[in-house]
Amino acid sequence: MKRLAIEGAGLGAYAGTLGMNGSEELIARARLGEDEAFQSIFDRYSRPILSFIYDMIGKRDVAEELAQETFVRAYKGLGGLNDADKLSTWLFGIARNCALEHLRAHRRESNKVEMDDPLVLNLSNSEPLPEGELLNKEFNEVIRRALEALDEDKRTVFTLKVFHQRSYEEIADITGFSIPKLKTDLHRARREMRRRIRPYLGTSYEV
Amino acid sequence: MKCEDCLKVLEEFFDGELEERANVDVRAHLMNCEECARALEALTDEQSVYSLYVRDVEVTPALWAGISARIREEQGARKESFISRMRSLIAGAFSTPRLSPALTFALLVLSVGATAGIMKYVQSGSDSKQAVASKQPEKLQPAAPVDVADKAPDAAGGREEESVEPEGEQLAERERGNDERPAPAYRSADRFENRRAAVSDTFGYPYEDSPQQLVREAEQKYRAAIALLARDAKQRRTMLEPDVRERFDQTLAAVDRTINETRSAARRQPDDAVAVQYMLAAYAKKVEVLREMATYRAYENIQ
Repeated sequence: MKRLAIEGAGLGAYAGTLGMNGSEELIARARLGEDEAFQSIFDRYSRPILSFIYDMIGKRDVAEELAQETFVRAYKGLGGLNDADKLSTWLFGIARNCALEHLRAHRRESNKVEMDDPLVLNLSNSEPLPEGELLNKEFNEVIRRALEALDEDKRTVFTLKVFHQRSYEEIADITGFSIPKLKTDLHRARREMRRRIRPYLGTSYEV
Repeated sequence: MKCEDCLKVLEEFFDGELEERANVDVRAHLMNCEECARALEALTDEQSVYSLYVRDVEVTPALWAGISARIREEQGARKESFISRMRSLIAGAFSTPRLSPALTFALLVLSVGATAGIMKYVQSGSDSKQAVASKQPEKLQPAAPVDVADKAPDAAGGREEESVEPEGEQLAERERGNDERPAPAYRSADRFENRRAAVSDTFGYPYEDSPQQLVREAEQKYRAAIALLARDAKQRRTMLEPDVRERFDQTLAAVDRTINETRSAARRQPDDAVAVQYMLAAYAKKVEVLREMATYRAYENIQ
């Protein structure tokens, strides 16, 4: 478990590189129509953006489609980005809008996980699995379904904080939520997620 | 710090969002509180588990290829939009303005009417000049003054239409209320154009009638003026000295005869500009005499 904690800390280090210097120059060059500059922006942010959209949507093909839409919108709206330091949150904001638009358009079709979902119930009733077995497809499916069970606000805040290590201030910038709201949503999201993945946790301690 | 307070901000502490002062307090409490330290360890473990989450998605070259293709489309659309804007701008500079159907129809009617009016006007003026030129080779001189004293007192040939009343009382009865001023006497056929303009000014629309109609209108105006002046002259007449009154009566009678004669001649030969000229001159003379009679004052005669 300590090894996992170190890897988790590594995520934060990765996220820190998102705000590396040079964004201003890349943006300026991309605005002038330099395709290579915009491709560099894509190379830098495509993975977290695609992951974030996938966390929000849960479907690979749709996530790729929406990631594409996100970068096309970013290309069109690059002239409206005033602060190069906000490039990352700006892109996440566009991605969130794309994801929410899709979710709202397909709300009826969404396969929302209910609390009586057999998979969730089975996992909740089962004993904690050995550490080596966590890295399997079933675990990923559990996480995905548990995320889907969160409402959109909680899912957004939880994903941005837990998976993308965004600060409260950055989450507020991306979502437009107030700090108290996002803290409340994050706390409730953690509690819901904890309940759903408890079999995979090494401790049953309730925060 | 109590455990309750510590647990309340533990997530913020874990997320690194606490202020430095609160951070120090929580850290100090965790050093001495095993229960709260276990809670922090649980959060850390959760984060470790989430870090194992592997998404069924990855960035592929196809993703950038799709984006790149759409960007090129966007660039093409922008270029096309710019070219289209420029094209429409240039085309708009040389295009005719769009008119509504109603405005188009109104302009069409106006242009047809104006064309017809101008053509008729030109034709009428041309005919008049030709008629005058054929019958009056030389330029007409100003009409000879009607010397009523030289005129014969008989009324021969003067009753073709209605007779002219000595005092114009019949006209006064018939045309009372018409206060139009008399038109100026036209003493030359060359003044047809001026007369046409004067009639146009009077009626407020372009003159389009024949010369004969124009003469009739001038005649009517003279008769209307005569009727008005006759009324005033009649009132003045009673105040005049007998010899003066007799002289005016004789003069007016002579003028009336002249009017009847010239008008008969003008009716017989409506294209005869000279006859028309004399008739109008006779009317003008009567207007002059009546005006003089209406404004006659004894002291002027004395002086």
